[in-house]
Amino acid sequence: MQIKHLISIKHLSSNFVEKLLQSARKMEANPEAFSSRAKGKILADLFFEPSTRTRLSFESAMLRLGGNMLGFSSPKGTSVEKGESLADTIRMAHSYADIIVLRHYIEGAGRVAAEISDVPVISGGTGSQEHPTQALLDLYTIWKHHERFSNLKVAIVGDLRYGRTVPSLSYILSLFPNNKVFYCSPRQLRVRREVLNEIEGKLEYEELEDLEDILPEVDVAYITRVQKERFPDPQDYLKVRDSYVITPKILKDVKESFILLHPLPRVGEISYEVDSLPLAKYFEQAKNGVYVRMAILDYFLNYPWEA
Amino acid sequence: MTEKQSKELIVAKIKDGVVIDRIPPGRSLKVLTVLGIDENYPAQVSLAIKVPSQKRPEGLKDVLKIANKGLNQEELDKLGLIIPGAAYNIIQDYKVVKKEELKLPSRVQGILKCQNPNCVTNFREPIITEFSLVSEEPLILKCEYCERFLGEEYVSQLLYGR
Repeated sequence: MQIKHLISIKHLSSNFVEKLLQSARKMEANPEAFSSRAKGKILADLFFEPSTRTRLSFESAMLRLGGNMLGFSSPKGTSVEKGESLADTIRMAHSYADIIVLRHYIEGAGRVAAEISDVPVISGGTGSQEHPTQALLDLYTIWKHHERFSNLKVAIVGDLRYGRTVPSLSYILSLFPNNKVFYCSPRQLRVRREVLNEIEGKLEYEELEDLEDILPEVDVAYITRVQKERFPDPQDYLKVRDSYVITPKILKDVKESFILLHPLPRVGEISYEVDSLPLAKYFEQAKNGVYVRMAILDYFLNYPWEA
Repeated sequence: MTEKQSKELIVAKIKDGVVIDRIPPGRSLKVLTVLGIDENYPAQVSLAIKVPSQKRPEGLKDVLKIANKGLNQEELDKLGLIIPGAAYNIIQDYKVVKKEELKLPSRVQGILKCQNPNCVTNFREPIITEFSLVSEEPLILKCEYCERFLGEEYVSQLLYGR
């Protein structure tokens, strides 16, 4: 079976995820061997919302595969600014390119694009809804360090209400057995009930406010930024902005194999002194994004293996 | 007085139209709102509120008879959302030609509006809303675009404005 678009982790199986990440590992080991996989192909990156890592790593991935790209990094200066619908923008893009990466502030934009497009649509994140390629590179980083997809204890920390990486990471961990998530957040920023409903019975979880109690027992802590831009009231943002700040002192009792991840950008959640600790893997995580996105582009352009 | 006798006394038979029976007591006025029936409706509408019922848990029900009216799928979906468990009868020439229970629809297209202002269905795009049933009690629907939940209070608000 071929998967046509990548707009939600919920559409993927554990088998697909494993194969995709194995493919990413081969690309990391020897990227040159894949340098013609996208030769003559064009990627349209349509970014309706700011992005640094997602856009640049997709572009880097496409270039490393020998392909080209076109697109925009902000709707400024395009017909979108004149009021063009997403549907019409997609109709244009799918006739100019072989694959589309879409980042949008509107939730549900990925599904609309997938319904209209004749070429594969990869979500680069939609509103607070999901960020599926981020979850794939998050799991890739976890797998590289722990050599397993299951029996993992993961603390997901910070803005669990508005952060779009949180649903996707939860869904991907729920595909594999015996994983457990500790959701650490201030009360106002708890995981949305829609997300909990989705993982109910598939992923064990606990909701708590105090991170320090559980740090010694987790394999991974995944820190997220409080999403200032998604708060309806700026006062509410100021109240919770500095709820969790990771310092070397907080990390003193973690397991030897423990790793610290962050989808980035960070604003103050992880102090700069943590960066030099061997457990800090967030910059490597960002680098892994290139290999995982190479594997994603290769799959959707060439369908090199059975899903 | 039996239930049958009381119904006959209060609500006269209609020649052609629809009879909606076993409506939760007091909700028939909302049914009229949802069906868009008001003082301008050109045919007979009979309404019985809180008559005895053995089939409803409350022991009471409303009955509605609307002459010269059928029910399309959209209306059936709307009624399924607000009065599940009620029954509707299609009447032709005084005879019941169809009788069915109203059920909560598992999928609702085009009727409800997503409450999430950041949902793509609230922007100018060529799409119709689509919700799936998550839970019957309490009533929870999920927007198939943004995946947010819609609770009973919003369903009521969207259907009849309060």
